[in-house]
Amino acid sequence: MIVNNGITSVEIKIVDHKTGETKKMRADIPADRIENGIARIEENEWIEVE
Amino acid sequence: MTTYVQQVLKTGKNNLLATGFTGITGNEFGYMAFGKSTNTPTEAGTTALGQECSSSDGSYARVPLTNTADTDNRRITSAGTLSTSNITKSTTITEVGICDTSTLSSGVFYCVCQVPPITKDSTKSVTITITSTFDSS
Repeated sequence: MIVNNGITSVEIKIVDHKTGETKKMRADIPADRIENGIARIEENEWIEVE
Repeated sequence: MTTYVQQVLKTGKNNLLATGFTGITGNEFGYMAFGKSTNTPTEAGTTALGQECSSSDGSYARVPLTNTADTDNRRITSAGTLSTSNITKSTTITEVGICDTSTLSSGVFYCVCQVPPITKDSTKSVTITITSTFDSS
């Protein structure tokens, strides 16, 4: 059994009100990567989303 | 390669239990805090952000959480937004936490999440959304 208790997703949305640009990044943490409430996201696992 | 740790804290787990069960006192988690430390949080050793932002970063205040429940999946999504008028001086945000009070440098934290560096000033608004899941499969 995989126990998946903890932070399973983090999303960052940055709106630049000077340029009007919006940048959104997201990282989803797989169930088997959560151990006793701790999840680790590698740098290349942050994905830019629409 | 940099690793970003998302840690639910021991204090946070205990406060969840205290809030949910009669006879034990706890406060609901209703605020998001932002910080500048790159210290790695640990389950039992961390009780707050490593270095929370302050008034010297330009009108910093903790922000209220907006929570959305997904009961089918035993999941809650918590979002907080720093407006353009909250942290107006150029500041690099590297950590975010969910806590039970708006008072700076105090309160019980549910989690501390490390994020890639975000440069915040008066030209930008920043929204962080953290999803917690309590499930087994």
